[in-house]
Amino acid sequence: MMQVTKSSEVHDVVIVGSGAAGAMAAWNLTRQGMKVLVLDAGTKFSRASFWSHVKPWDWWRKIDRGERPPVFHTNLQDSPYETPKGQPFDLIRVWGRGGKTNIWGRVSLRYGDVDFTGPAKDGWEIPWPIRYKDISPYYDRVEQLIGVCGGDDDQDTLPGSRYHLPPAAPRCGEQLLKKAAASIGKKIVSGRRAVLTKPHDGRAQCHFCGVCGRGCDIGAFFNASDYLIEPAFRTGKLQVVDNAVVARVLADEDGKASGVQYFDRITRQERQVKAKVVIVAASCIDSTRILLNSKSQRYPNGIGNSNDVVGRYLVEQVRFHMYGFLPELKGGKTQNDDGIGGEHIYLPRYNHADGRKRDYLRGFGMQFWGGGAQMNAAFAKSLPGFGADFKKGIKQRYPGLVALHPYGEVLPQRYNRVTVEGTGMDKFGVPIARIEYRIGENERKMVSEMYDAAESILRAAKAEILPFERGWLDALGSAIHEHGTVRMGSDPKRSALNGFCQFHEVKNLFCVDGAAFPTATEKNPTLTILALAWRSSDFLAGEMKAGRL
Amino acid sequence: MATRRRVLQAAGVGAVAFPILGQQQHTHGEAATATAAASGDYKAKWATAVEMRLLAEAADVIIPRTDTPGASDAKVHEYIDYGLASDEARKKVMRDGLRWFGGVKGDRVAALQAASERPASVEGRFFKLLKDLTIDGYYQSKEGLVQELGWHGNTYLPEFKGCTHPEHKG
Repeated sequence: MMQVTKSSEVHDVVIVGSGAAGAMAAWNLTRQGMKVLVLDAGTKFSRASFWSHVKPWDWWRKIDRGERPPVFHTNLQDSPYETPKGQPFDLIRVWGRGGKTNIWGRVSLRYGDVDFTGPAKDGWEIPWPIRYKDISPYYDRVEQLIGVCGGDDDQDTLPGSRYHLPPAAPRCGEQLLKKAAASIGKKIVSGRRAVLTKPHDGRAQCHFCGVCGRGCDIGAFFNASDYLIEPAFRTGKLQVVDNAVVARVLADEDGKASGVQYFDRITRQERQVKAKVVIVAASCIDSTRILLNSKSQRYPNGIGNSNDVVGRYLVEQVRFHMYGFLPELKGGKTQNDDGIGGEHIYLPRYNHADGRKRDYLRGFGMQFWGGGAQMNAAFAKSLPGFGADFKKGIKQRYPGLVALHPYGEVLPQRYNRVTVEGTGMDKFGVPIARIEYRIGENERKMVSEMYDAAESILRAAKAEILPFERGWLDALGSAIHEHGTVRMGSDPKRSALNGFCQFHEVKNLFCVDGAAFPTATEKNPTLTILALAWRSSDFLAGEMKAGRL
Repeated sequence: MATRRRVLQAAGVGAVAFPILGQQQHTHGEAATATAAASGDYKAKWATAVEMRLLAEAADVIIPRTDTPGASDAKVHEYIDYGLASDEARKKVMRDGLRWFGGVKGDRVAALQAASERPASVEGRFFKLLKDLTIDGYYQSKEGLVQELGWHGNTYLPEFKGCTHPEHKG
């Protein structure tokens, strides 16, 4: 039996996780003079080790020679989870400084009041306790801090910004899709991404190599490690413990959070640290698991969970891909279509505003995923035939490729949930998460319109449509936008947190990651996670100075 | 994340056959500057010399040499041997299929065409796997991607101009 190492030092704030949420809180609190300890479950990724410029033909040869690219995704030996048989959920996490922001999609979309008040209008589950006016000053600050490129458009489902860096120039295929969509009344706007299209805040601009998903070797898109954790170190107020896998939030006799228990990922040594305030920001599912495992006599359902809300209402998004080949580009010259990686355009949600009544609630937006010259021709697997003519057909189609990639909201349901009862244990003997998640009728109806929408744009563009199976969806969970399991709300009976990510039941405990979102929306969440974490940590600092924590 | 996304849709543009290759590769781009890896020293992981020869010949039926290189010119058979090394189930499909392919008397094109019309048979499953892996291997090789398709991405650009064709604008 290993001895538990307990430190007697009481930190102002302990933060679990250093991704977008945790790093933002750490940066904002340390610059206001607080002493912060961040526990991260991995280590720092070295930019010099990224395979940003390894060509595809060299990739497997290098691996064959025993070289390895950095491994971002957490392996299931270190962080197992369970799902019911026949009900898979694709849970993708990055343990390590900066978390998933090392390799994120970078799409940075503001949520609007259509999102925050949607549930109040349609009556399904609870609305957000905040409105656009509460969060918009923080969107402004986040965009100025991290650098987000985009256009000057402004709509109710995608509020505009005065702080965008120049948008990335559309590729040929995107320009043609824009034109085609406009011809059927759909308005495609510039994409918004946290990519530096010009030098920003002392950082170099993007060099358009197109493989952001391998990590950026020059840090030209926001990652929480370089942009937040490193500056926080310079205040002298930040300590980070790497390889610290947090198991539980500890509570004192008064029911307040008193610190956390964690295990060293390498040595498996158990440790405990004390703090005046605890912030959980370990990403949705891991934060939920930690909270549910934080049981005591006072909190038999897990800390802050007397109302049985924590773990429930897991929401994500439904997505699929549709591909086509544009006649204007087929057989043409191959261009360098890399750009800032991913699409340069976006189709904001429109289904609430066209006057047509739907038989489902909420909505979808559409992303496009690049297009043009890719570094493979995997589309050819869906074409019939083989041989010389087949080869010719691939070459002809290759410059004309476009991709459509809609995202639809999934409604919160009580039965879509994370539990830790009766599950297996991880290597530290801590119960693992069981994820039960399925989509229903509302989603299936929305997906049907999503297919219609994608197909109508391709038809308007007179594209050759790559054969697809109608109704097919990407693996559930693979949008990597998990939310809802520690939701905020104004009714303490139906929510875990208030609008400042503070537990209704435990005033010195906060959860600032995506788990706090009551709805998934159709949009990508990281910009909103950053804005909420900034706002919540401002509130926290004020409460602490006022002696209320 | 862009990696988002180990999204392995069967028909997916970003889909690649081997997870270890594909994990960080779902975006796009790769440039034409590096030299092709020397492959004269490649040692087969599981295929026998006979199987390697059959694999090269079968891949060439899928993507033959034309005025540009074919699959075996691009060493696609090495890519397939490497990629299936630790995938017992698909290795068996490939092995059984190669045995069938080696026994074909006469027209191999016609035999593979017939196989493609019987997807559930030994040769039909072999055809689908062979075709998918040949497409992945060939169009990620320097011969297939650069020489055949003209790709010249994943490089350093001072500026990204995007579409410069007035006729493409609305």
